[in-house]
Amino acid sequence: MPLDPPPRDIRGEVLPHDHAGILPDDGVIRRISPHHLIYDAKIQGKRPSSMAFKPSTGERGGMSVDLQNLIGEAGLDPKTYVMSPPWIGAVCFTAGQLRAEGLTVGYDPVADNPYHGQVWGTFSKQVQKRLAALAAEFVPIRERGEEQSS
Amino acid sequence: MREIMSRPDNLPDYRNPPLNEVVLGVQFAPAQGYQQIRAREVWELYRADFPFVEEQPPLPPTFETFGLPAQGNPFSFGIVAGAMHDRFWFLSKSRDEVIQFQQDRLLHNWRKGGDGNNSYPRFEKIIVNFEAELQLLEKYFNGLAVQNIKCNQAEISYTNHIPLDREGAPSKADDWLRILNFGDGAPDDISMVARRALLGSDGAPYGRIICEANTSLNPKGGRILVLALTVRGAPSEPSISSALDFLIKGRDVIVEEFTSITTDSAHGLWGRVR
Amino acid sequence: MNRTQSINAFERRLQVDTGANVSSHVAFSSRVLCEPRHAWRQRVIERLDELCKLQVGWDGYQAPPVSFANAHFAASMLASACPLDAPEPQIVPGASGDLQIEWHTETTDIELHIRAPNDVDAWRVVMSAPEREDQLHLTMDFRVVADWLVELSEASVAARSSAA
Repeated sequence: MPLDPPPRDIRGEVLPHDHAGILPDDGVIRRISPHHLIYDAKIQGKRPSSMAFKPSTGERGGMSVDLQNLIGEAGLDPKTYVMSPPWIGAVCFTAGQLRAEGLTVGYDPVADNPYHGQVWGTFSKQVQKRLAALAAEFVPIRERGEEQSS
Repeated sequence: MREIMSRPDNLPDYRNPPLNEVVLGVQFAPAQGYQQIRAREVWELYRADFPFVEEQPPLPPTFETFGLPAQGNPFSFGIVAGAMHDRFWFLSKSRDEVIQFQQDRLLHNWRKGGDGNNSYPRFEKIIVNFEAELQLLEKYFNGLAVQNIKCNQAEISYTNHIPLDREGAPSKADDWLRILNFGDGAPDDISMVARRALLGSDGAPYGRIICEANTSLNPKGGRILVLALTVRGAPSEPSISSALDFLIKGRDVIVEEFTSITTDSAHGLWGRVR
Repeated sequence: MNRTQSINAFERRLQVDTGANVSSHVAFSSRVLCEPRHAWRQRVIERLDELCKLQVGWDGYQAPPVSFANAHFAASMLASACPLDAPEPQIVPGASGDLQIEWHTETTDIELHIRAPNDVDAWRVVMSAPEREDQLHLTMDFRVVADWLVELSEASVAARSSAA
């Protein structure tokens, strides 16, 4: 079901909002670049940095996401769709999980991504850590250097 | 715009200091909407008084940070290949003043002309002019997008040329600099840098003073001691006004330091009046 | 006219007529053969360079590369904050030209988020007291980070000793 257009300001930029059309069980995909991976001696392996779950630093900065339902309704495979650039990995949440962290999930279509959304709110260190723990692998995250062989 | 201020009463002053060049500068976040193709529009802001232009390689960003004492070379992070904005020199008719511009810098240099006949216009005047130049630039950037100049560093530098081969005057560097004492073994040449953090009333660093001294030759082949004093750091707020406050304070620090590290006999030769 | 400029400093001298060759401390110390430096220094410089050259959209969305100013500020910060025996930092780009410098050892996590020059969110947690997190906003004074890194190195040495 198509989403209602998001609220916009006088310049046409999307205002932070919580979209009622994005339901609690709807999938919210976050792309993870190989540049986000760090080595953590505590787990003796690599994991996404907290930067992977941080919003942009602008005044209305949110965390960019892809809205899984919209992609599927357009007849596309979400896993293939989000692999852009080709070496990108991805994790997935439900909208409900994000809202339980005090965040809002909104719709923000952009020119080259009509299924783009944003997550707004206070991304404290504790929230970032919980997001990292909640994130379910959606597309395997490759290491830097592996993209050269893809 | 601030009025022309008067020199603080307690600041040392000299009738004839060996001053050769003064530079005021600010570094700021690149303005939204600005691209190098617009550099000519910036030149037009100043062109009436600075009718000549030259292009120079850009300066990389520089920041004073504080923590551990310097350990070997600082990280020298070379210029990244790719689109870099040139540095433009807008020169005055007499070429003794230069506005230097690149997308993240504005500097104003005054220097003694080749014949040495242009007199130093004094800090109190050049800071007012520099403020006007910054405000013109900010107004221009504001026309591209609603924004103020966000200064992240400010710097003031005084360069002195002390002749070492003038008849009747001292010829050794340690005759001029109190901080040097080579005894009977005067070196043929000197190259030194000394840096010191400047601390605020709360004990936290707010900037750094850098003193550089080198022997060299002037254009006529005469031996000189080049003594450059620089104060650099982040203004307390990213505004033009705060950057100017930093420069004013920096000037005072430089004059005090210059007086402190040079000898009494040098002060006499320079005509110290305060 | 012989113009020489240093591109290693916030250069402001015309050096047009003077021919003055102001030696920076960089040139001076290049004569020293055994000058102290971090073992990972070149890798960090290369990583910063790599992040400044990222293509727009490197994150799958519209993120720009790390800004040149932020990369230079990071280099300056590391020079001020890292003792010579500090472990190699990891450097992660952000969505707005920002970046984060991180260490994750068995005993300690430190993250320094450079939002812009003079605008750093510093965070540390020590595993022996995870309920007590240190969070600070820093501008140009990184003495506290230097202390954190000294403690991190000491804790790592202690951890390795007790494991041995």
